[in-house]
Amino acid sequence: MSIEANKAVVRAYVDAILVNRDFSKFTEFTAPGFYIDRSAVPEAIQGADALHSQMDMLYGAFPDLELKIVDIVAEGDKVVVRFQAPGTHLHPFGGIEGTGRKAVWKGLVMYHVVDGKITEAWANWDDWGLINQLK
Amino acid sequence: MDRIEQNTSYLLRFFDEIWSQGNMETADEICDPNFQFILAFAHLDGLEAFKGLVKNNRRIFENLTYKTTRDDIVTTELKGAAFWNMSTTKHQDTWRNVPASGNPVAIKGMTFFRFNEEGKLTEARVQNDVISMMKQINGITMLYNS
Repeated sequence: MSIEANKAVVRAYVDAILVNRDFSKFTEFTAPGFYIDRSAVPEAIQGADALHSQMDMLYGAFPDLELKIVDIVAEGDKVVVRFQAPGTHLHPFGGIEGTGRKAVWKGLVMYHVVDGKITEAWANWDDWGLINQLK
Repeated sequence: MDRIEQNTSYLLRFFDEIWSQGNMETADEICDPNFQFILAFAHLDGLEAFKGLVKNNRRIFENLTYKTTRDDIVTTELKGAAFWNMSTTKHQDTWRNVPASGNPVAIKGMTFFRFNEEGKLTEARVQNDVISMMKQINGITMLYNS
């Protein structure tokens, strides 16, 4: 797969799975055994159900969350995405009741793409900054 | 050396020579004077401000070490990114209002870079695990208590 094709897979995954939460398409973009290493959490997010519940929790707290790719770089079989996700905090998140505040969550994620499928992702999201915006 | 090889080499040197060794000559060599270093909680405007941050953090954190490898780096002609591990043997002075804990710390992070046409680094946007960092230096309760 070309670098451009790998970027296209990641963009399509973000749109279908992370933005629209259409998990019927999960295996279209991810390889068996796909996991997300989130450095802030001890255990990796493994499989569709685990990611689905994470995304539901996030959109539950920030119903108008607008997850956007703001920059992307790729080389070989790796694609790195810089995300920004503005949203309004209406329901509990990280132990904080809904505040009605608008906040922006930022993150960097490195995806490993093999034969057109994402095999793993390493994610760094600014949880600290997000919680600080809700205080 | 082609531009992508050079960019990769610069990112390896950014972590090893500038952050781990405190070599400011490397910073002058590979960074643009208007280098922007953007953290979740701070924006350092200009290379001198960045060098000041490096010196300060190396004083606060004993044996501050950043490790990355070629496999953890992605570069093109004008952009790059690196996944890294940071460690220190002792948090020995106040950082982000958290007094010295004396604790060792280890966290992971990622940085998104931009290069200019001359091949110098112009921008670095950092995301790292600040919550884990704060937990390790006993600073996590300050967020909720402040």
